[in-house]
Amino acid sequence: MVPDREDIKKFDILIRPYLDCLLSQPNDHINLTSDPLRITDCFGGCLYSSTKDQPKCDRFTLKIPYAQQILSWQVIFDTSNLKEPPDFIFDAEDHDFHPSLADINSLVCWDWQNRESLAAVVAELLEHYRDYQLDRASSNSTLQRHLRSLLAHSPPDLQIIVNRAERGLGTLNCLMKVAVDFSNIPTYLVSENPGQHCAILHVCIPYPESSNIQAQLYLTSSVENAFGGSTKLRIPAFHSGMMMGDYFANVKALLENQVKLISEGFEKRKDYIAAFINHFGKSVLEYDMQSFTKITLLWEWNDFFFTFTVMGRFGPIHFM
Amino acid sequence: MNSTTFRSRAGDKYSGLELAKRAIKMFVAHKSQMNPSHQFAFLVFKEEATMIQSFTSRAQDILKTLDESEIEPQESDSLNFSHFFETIKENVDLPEVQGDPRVMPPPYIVRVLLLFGRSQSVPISPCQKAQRELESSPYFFTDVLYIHEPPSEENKCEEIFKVFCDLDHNGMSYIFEQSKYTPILNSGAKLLAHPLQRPRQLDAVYKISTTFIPTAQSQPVAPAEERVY
Repeated sequence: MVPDREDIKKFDILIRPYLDCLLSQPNDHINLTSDPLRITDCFGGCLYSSTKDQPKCDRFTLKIPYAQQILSWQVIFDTSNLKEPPDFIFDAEDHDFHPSLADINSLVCWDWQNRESLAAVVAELLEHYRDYQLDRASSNSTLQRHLRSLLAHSPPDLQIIVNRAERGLGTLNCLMKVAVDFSNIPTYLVSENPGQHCAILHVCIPYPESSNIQAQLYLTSSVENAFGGSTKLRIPAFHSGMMMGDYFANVKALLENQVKLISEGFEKRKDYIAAFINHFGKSVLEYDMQSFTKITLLWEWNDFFFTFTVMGRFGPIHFM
Repeated sequence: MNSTTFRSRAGDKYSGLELAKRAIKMFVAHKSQMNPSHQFAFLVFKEEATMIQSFTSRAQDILKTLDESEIEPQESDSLNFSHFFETIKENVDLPEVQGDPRVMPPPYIVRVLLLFGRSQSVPISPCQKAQRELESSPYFFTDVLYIHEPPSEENKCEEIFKVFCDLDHNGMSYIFEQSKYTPILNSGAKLLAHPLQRPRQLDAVYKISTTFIPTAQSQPVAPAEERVY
């Protein structure tokens, strides 16, 4: 049994598995970035005079990193009735976010014995929250056009928040996963975290009519290394007049192209070195059999011995 | 080692020890250039084997140790291979074999490059236990560069060379014997080869032709022509 994390030890023992699952297991449907979920402001709803030393917290605030902002949702269990699903209170800003209980399958079918139940509810609520934000954004025609173009490309795992402003709508933050197949990147470039390749695009529209739309791309460190480091990243600027969907498609195509270049470059280098070994394998001194960027041979001509080194990149391996 | 002199093509004279040092310097410099991750250690045999430089990838440190070390050529005691390999065993960590060693490359290999310069004193090997233990790893190699005076009836060069050849238990070693300046350095160059990537010593071919080498039709080759000058 893995010992409980410090932050959940104060909770009732029956609630801890839900929290452990929510906080410890990465869940793509809840969290797109590596920023962790946090729990704060925990307290117990019941007063026990005889068991005051026992941890009995059953409610807390859940801080969810979402679209580069943080949602604060209060989660309220009831220690006297732990077979019931928790209640939720959302941010004050989202006072009109009232998803119908009947629509939340994981609440309707709450299984108190399944430790993944809370995570499932949070994930499903976030889907409703996304739809709620999409609706809010659609009240502005410019934002509606952007979002419609984006949704036409079916981005997987989309997070969106449109903040309210004094009059109407303010900043829009959008975070989406860019589905790119990274499996063709040679293993030596991504050996540290073989399963964790991911590209996340963040788009920020400061206010609906703004022509200064900002975009930033986040890659997992293994992919970033494969592309030559963070300084090599050059995503196109978001030109005014461009729709978010088109921009998303451009970034996706760019990433796919780079993966193709890297893997083709690797194959070409491999073939090139193999050709040298084929012809001159009996005079090989050393060659790089991981990235195939170098081979050194020893040759003799007229009693004169000399080393011959072929090195460099015969195909682009840097993201330029 | 000091009794023999070696003359370069330019006419410069070197003692055996000076030449051995030169060969080592060239080896270290070339190897470091080929791959900066290579590490070198330096062991000297007097009465017993002593590590005078522990493993480092800083070529400058090795070269400095070489220059500053007072290696005195001795003609007294025979080189005792048992002590020699025991000292090596104490100072070396061989990587564990993981997977199929014919396919999975190790994180590193360990190679002993023995430079021997005596023409009269035959090495002895009373007990081969340490050597066999080291050789039980597929990632341990022993190479020899034997620098000697021209073989004659007055010296034991041939007998010594035979002892070195007997060190090669699995056919993977490179054993060289030379008595002239340039061939000694050329042998040093051949020793640059990585033991896991080089051919067996007798299979190695370094000579290149000045004629056009036709590309093999059955293999895909990236450049269209390979003209070697």
